[in-house]
Amino acid sequence: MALLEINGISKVYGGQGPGGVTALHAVDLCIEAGEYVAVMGPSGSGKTTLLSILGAMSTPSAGSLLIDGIDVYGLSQERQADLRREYLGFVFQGLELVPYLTALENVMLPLAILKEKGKQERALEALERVGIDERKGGRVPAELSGGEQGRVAIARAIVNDPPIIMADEPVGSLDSATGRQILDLLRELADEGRAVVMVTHNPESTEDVDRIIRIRDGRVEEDARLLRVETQPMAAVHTH
Amino acid sequence: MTLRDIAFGNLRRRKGKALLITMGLTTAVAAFVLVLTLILSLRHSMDEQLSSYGANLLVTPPASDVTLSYGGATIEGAASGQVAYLSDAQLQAIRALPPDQVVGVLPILLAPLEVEGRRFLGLGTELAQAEERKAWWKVEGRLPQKDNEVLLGLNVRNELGVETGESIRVAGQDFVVSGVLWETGDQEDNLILLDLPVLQELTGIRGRYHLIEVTAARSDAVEPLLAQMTRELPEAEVTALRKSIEFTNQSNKALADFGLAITALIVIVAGFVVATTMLMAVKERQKEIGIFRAVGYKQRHVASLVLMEAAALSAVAAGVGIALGAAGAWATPQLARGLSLVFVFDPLVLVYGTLLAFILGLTASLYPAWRAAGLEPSLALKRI
Repeated sequence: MALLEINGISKVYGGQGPGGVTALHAVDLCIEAGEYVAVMGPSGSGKTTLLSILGAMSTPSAGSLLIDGIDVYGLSQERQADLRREYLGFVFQGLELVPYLTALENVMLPLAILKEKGKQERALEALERVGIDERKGGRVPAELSGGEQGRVAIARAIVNDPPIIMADEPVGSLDSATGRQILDLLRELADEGRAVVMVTHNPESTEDVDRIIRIRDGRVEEDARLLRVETQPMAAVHTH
Repeated sequence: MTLRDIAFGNLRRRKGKALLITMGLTTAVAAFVLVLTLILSLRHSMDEQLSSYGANLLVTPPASDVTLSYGGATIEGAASGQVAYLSDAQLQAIRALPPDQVVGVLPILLAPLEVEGRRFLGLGTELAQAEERKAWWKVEGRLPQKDNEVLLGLNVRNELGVETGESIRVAGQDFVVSGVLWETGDQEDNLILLDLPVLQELTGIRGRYHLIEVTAARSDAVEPLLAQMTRELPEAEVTALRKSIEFTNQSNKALADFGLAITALIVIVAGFVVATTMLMAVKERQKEIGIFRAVGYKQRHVASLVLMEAAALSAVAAGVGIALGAAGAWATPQLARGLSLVFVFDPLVLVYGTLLAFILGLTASLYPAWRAAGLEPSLALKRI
């Protein structure tokens, strides 16, 4: 059973009538645990819409999303929120760290609604995992470098130990060297067995991915699994 | 970290909006406290002044035929010649009433007096207390201080053609005119006023009175006193002089209604300011709220964040608003001395002011909280 499975997903904005805009047309996809997938396409192709649906953040007009066999959009809003917390970690475009919270508090953000002990310890572990020193945990984002902010964003995404990571243009605002560090981290997370889905428009960001899905005009144009070797990808296996 | 930390952190970051909301709430609370305190102070001052404008209750013997009367009391009675009096025991019963309800008890004895072949009505009472209770009394000269002194009403003075310091013969005895009561426009103009013991000596009527004037401490004490005295003095008639009381009560009510109407208007405007500012803040935070929802926050968590911020600002507004309102109420008598206001502060105003701050702040934030809770998590992916 795939970790993420979408069947016949369509999304129409503005109603079914003549004024409606179809962002996705009957898309089918399966993503396994440990896969590092890049979703690429030009502006308006539907990749952000696909990400929002995969992330249980936007109800499709048709079709279904199964996460670990659970029909996500058959759940109530409350249960969908629980599912996002348990299964999904997000790295947002521009990182979107909360500016008035420290790095540690940003990582604890998904835990703030839980009545559990040990929240701070979990957050510190996540920061350590991404290579952020505990001392820097007390700084607000403005006091951190771009790379450090990117790491904090990833720490926030993994603090609940989710099996799926969604990244929306995670290195768009970073320089190439810093961006490389972030991409390497995402590769490591995939190697740990998580499914990592990254939306990007930059081909250079896809050097380490296992699979590239190209979308155009709301349809999957290409779905290529890449054979990775130690030095470079040798071939693409097209599955679409 | 908790939701409260996020709420307070947001307030620290958005100080401008927090200040605007706090100012709106503070204005409403301050206006409410100011008006409420001024109403209490004004009511207290008017009651104090009321006690210097004469009696508001009259105690008389049971009514009978009247041939000569003062303030509803019998002077010469029915064909049987029987004149009803109030007793000393009844006077003492009235004097025993609580001093926080009764500020004046004035026993009055009336008697026809012959002066130089003419008949006038003599009134014996405690003249010093009477002058204190009747602010309209203006005495040329002074009140009688000796047993052979009298105070004349203006019409009596004019009819007799005497001046202050001159002697007259009253009921066969010599008296000196110590003073003249300037025109009151009432029955006092036609009276010869003496201290009670002097008239008792002249008439031989001791321990008996034609009426007793009672002054209540406050306008709202009159009706309860009327009921109590009616019960405790079954052999007497007790009447409330409602004219001045009603005027005072109506004035109080009109001022209170006006003040509260202005306050209600301020509270409504403040509510709109709070709601609008909160809505603007929610709109600015759409992406941030989308992220909260994306990481698993439910709608009630998001609503709680907004309401916690409102509660925190309401607490600040309560403290500052009450202080400002009380300070304004304290300063008003200093600045408007013509009003003769005395500052009176009821501790319950602290409770009412605090309740108003929280009710207004939270109610005005309900719609913004609902809008925030309804924001979709997909806003987290919104391109800027």
